[in-house]
Amino acid sequence: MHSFKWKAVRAAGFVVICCLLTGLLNFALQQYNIARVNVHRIGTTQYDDIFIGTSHGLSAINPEIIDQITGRKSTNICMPDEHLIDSYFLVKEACRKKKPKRIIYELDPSYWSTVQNHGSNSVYIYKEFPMSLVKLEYFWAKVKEMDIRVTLAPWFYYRNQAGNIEETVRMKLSSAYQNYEVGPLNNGLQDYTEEGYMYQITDPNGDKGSQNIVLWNQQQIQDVEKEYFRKLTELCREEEIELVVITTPVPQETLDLYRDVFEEAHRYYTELMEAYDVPYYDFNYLPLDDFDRGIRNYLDYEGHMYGESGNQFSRVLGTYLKEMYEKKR
Amino acid sequence: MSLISMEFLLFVLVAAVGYYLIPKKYQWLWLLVFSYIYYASSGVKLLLFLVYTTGTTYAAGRLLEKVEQKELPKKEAKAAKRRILTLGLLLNFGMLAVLKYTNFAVANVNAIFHTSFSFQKWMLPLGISFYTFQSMGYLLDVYWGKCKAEKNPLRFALFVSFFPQILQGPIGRFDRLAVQLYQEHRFDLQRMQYALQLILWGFFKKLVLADRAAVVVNQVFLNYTQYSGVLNLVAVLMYSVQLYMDFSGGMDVVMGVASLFGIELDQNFKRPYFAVSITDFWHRWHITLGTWMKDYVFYPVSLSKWMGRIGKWSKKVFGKKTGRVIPICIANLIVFLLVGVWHGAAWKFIAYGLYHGLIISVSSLLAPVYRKGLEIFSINQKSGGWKVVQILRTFVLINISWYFDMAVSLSAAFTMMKTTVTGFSLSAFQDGSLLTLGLDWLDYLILLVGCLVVFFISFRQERGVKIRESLAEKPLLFRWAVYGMLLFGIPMFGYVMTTTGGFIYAQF
Amino acid sequence: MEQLLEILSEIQPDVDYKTCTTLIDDEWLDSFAILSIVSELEEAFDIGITPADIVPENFNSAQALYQMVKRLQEEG
Repeated sequence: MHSFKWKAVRAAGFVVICCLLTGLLNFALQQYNIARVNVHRIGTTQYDDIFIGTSHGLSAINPEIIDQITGRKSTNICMPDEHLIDSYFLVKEACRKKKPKRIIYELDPSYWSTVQNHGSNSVYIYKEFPMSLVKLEYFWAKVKEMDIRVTLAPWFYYRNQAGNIEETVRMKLSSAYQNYEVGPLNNGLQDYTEEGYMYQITDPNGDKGSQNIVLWNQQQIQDVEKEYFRKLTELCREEEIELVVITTPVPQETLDLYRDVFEEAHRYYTELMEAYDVPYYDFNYLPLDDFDRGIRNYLDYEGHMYGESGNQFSRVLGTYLKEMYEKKR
Repeated sequence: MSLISMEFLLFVLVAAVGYYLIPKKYQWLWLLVFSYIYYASSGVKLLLFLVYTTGTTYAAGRLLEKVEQKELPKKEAKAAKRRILTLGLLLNFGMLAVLKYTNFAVANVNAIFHTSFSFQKWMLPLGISFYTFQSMGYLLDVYWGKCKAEKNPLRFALFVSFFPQILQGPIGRFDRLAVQLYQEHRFDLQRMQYALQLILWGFFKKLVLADRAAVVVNQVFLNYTQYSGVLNLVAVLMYSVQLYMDFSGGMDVVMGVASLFGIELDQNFKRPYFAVSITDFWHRWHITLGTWMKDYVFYPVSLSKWMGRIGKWSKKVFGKKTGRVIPICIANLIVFLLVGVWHGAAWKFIAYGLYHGLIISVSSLLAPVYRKGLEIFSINQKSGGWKVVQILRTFVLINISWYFDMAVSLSAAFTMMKTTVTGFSLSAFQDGSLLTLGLDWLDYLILLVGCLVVFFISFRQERGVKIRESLAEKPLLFRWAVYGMLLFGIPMFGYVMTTTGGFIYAQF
Repeated sequence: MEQLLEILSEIQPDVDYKTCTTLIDDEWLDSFAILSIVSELEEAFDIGITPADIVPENFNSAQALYQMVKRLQEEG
C-alpha cells in the first residue's frame, strides 16, 4: 500500500528534480549582460557619483572622462530599458552596500510616457540582484504582478539561445564571467568600459534609422514613473545623497522636427524639478561649447551618441558638474 | 490580480496552506476573508458594489422567507413575494444596466437625436456580470422555493464573492455551490494532484495557444481593410482557437484553484467544437451562462401569461405543431438577445446573439422538414460520416458568428465577411503574407501541434475517457514525463506578450 | 397515462418512454421539447405549470411527469 507519506516524499522528489532542471536551464540559457556587471560594481566599489538612467546615458556619459575633470570617482549604470522603478532599486542596492555621495539621474522624457514592456529587458536588472531585502522589495513592487514564468522559469526569455548552449556554458565557466569583466560583452560594434560607458563605434555616414521616434506625451505619463521619482527623491533625502537630474541632448534635427514636444517636456520637467528642489540640466537647451549636435555624431534620431560624441559630451557634462560643485561650496 | 501572475500564485498558496491548517469550522470564513482581499486588490472602492449586491440579495432572500412563514392568504403572499422579488431584481440588474449600458444608450441617443450628452467614466466593478447573475439566480431559486434563504449574511457573502470564480465564472448555483463552500474539507493529496494538473493544462491553453493566436487576430481584426479574404479567414479561425483556449483555459485554472479548496465548480465547457448543432454548441460552450438563461429567462418567459396568450393565438393561425413552437422561438430570441447584450454594449453583440437565436429558432421550426429531407436522401443519422458533416457545418456557422463577436463594429463584421468570400485566393499561403501578421513559421507550427494535442485529448474525452484518472493509472515515470513536458513546455513554447495580457472573459 | 405517452412520442419520437428514466439527465429532451410538452400538458389536462416545476425530478421519466400532472390537478 502506498502510504500518504511515501506519496508526499515522491511528490517532493519531483519538485526537487524540477528545481534542479530549472537551475540547469537558467545556467545554460541565460546570457551575460551589462546588468550583471553593473549590479556587481555598485555593490563592491565605493563611488562618489553614480549615473542612473537609460540607454541615452549609457552612450553619452563616460565616467572616466568626467572624473578627470571633477576629480571625483564616478560610475555609469544607465542601461537600456531601465525605468525609474529599476533605477530606484539600483540606488537602494548601492546604498545597502556602498553608499554614494551623489546620484545623477539621466532623464529621458519618452520613458516617462511609455509603459515598460514585459520583454526580457523588463527583468534583466532585477535578476542580477543578490538575494536581500532590497531584492524582495523589488520583487514585491514589480515582479509579482508579472507573468509566473518570469519568476519560476527565468530562462524562458532566453529559450531562443538553445542553439548556443555550448558557447553559453563555456562563457559562464570562464574567469571573465566569474570576475564580472566587460570583455565578453564587447562585440566590435560597441565597447563597454569598466565604468559602464558604452563606446559606440563611429560611423558618421551610417543609416540613422527612422525619424519616427517614440515621443514624450504629457497625457500618457505613467503613474509608476512619477511615483518612483518621488520615492527616489525621498530615498536620497533620507540617505543624505545629493540628487541631480540631467537630460542628454538629442540631435538638432530631432529637436527641430519635434520642437513643440521637446519644449513642452523641458517646461514640464523644469517645473517638476523646481517643485522637488532638484537641480535639473536639460542639455537640449543649454550651451554645449564645441559639442556638435548634428545627426552625423549620433547613431540614430532618438539621440544615442557615437563613442567620440559621447566622450565630447562627457567633457561638457564634467565641466557643468564641477562648476555646480564649486558654486555650492 | 491576473490568474497568470506570480502574485496570484502566491495568494493561492497562502490561502490553500492556511485553509488546511486552521480549524475546519473556520474554513469558510477563511475563504471569505481571502475572497474579499482578492476583490479589494482590484480597487478597494469596488468592494462597495460587491457589498451592495450581497446586501440587497441577502435581504430580499430573507424577506421572501419571512412572507412564507407568515401564513398569509395565498394570493396576498404571492403578491408580497412578487414585490420583493421585483425590487431585488431591479436593484441589481438596474445597477448592472446603469454601469454597463449607460454609455451605449447615450451614444445611440446622441446619434439618433443629434444630442450631445456626455459619456460617463464609471469604473466597472470586475466580474459584476458574473456575480450579479449568480446572486439573482439565488434570489429566483428562493422565490420559487427551489432553495432556502441563507440566514448567515457572512456565509451568503462568500457565495457571492468566492474568489476563483468571481472574475470570469463559472456562474454558480446556490444549491450546488453553497453547500460545498460551507462544508469542512480535509486535505486530499489525489484531489490536489488533479487540481494542479488542471491548472497546468489551463496555463498551457492560455500561454501557448491563446496568446499566440491572439497576435494574428488582433492584427487582422483591427486592420481588416488591409488584408485579403484568405487572411480574414485565417484570422477568424485563429479567433476560434484564441477564444476557446483563453476562456476554457481560464476556466481550467479557476476550477483547479477551487478544487485546491475541495470545491468542485460547475463545468463551463464540454468540447464545444464537437457540437453537432448550434443548440448542442450552447450545451457545450459557456454552459453555466446557457443554463442560467434557460432556467431564469427562457422557462419563465415561455411560461408567462402573455406568452401563453401568444401561444393560443399562434396555434389558431399556424396550426397545432408550428403554433406550439412559435412562442418558444420568441422566448429563445429574447434569451439570445440577452446573451448578446451580456457580451457587451454594442450592436455587433446584439447581432451576435440574434444570429445564434435565429439559427436555433429556424432550425426547430424546420425540424419536420429536415427529418423528411434526411429520409428522402436516405441519410443514416447515426453514421459517423453524417456526424462529421454536422460538426463541420456547426463549426462553420459558429465561425460566422465570431465575425460579429470580434470585429471592431457591426459594419466591419459585414465587410470582413464579404472580403472573405469575394477576395478569396490561396496565394497568401505561398507569397509569405501569412508571415506578415506577427507570427513566424515556428509560431504557426507550435499552434498547429498544440491544437492537435488539445484535439487528441478532447477526442478521448468525447469517447468517455477521463484523462486525469487514466493518467493516474500509468507508471510513475510516464506520469512524471507528462507533467515535466507540461511544466517545461509552457515556458519553452509559451508566447511572450510584450504587455501583460488579461483573460478575455475577465472583463464582463 | 396513455394520453401523456401519446403527447410525448408526438413531440420527440425517438425515445422509449415506458422505460427511460433519464430523459433530462441524458439529454433526450432539450429545452424546446420540454416547453412543447409543458404547453401540451397544460392544454390537455387543464393545469398551470410554473418555472419552479421545471426541474429534472419532474421530467426525467414519463412516470414522474404523470405524478406532476396529478399533483397539479389536485392543487388546481
